[in-house]
Amino acid sequence: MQVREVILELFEEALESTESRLQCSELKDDTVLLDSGLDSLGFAILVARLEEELEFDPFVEMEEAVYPITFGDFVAIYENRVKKG
Amino acid sequence: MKVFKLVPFSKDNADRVLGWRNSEKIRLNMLDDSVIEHSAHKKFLAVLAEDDSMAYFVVEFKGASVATIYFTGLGSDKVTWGCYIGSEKTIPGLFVAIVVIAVKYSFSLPTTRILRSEVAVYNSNPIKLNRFLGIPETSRFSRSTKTGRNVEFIEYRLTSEERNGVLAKAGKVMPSSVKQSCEEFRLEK
Repeated sequence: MQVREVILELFEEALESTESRLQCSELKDDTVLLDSGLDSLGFAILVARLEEELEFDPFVEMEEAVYPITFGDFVAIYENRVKKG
Repeated sequence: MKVFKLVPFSKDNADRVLGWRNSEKIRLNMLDDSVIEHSAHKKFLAVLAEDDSMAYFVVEFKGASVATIYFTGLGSDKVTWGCYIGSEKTIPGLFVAIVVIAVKYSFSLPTTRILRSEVAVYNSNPIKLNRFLGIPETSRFSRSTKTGRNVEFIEYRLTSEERNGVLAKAGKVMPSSVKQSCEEFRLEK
């Protein structure tokens, strides 16, 4: 499964576990995360679950703090980490 | 390792604090929902300097100011805390980490028995987080805000006996990047 697919699956799971709903018709790369419907708890759950599935937390490895604003930024952080190996 | 830093409110961070505090989305959730002028903030800093029962901090993470956290009632058995997140960027687990810092900071004082907070009923983020962490709702009350809105607030209370359970639950949803950083947060002078 591609990283993007894993993220989409766990994004949905995080929405459900926090009783939240997507606040847009679909997640697109330009969807602002804070407007997506996933709240702060949900986002924590998402990244913690991704760490379980992918066995890394890209944010812990960053020299400089780079945080995503959009869903596309978020996916890119994980995809770039996978490319680096 | 990058740790969270708590930097006391001062004239150096006044612009940043007021910029966050006076934004509409933050004021909406505050009992004092008025716009705070620089002159009033300056007077408040003077009060803070003389009053050991209150502590107000800017939270820094990886070199950036990301939130505020504040406490009243320090030195008594009942400490009240609050926070607001200023960062426009999504820092995974930040809010959970701030709760952990509040719990650790408050109960590091030998007098603290209860840590309480007040949340407006429509402020869903902290309501969900309190529920998830098992911090019990203890009462509801209505108050008139400073600008005259009537708002219902929920009171949450965490006892010293319950805190370890909350910290354990928080640990399960904190990504490594923030979990490691809030193991030992640093108080700046």
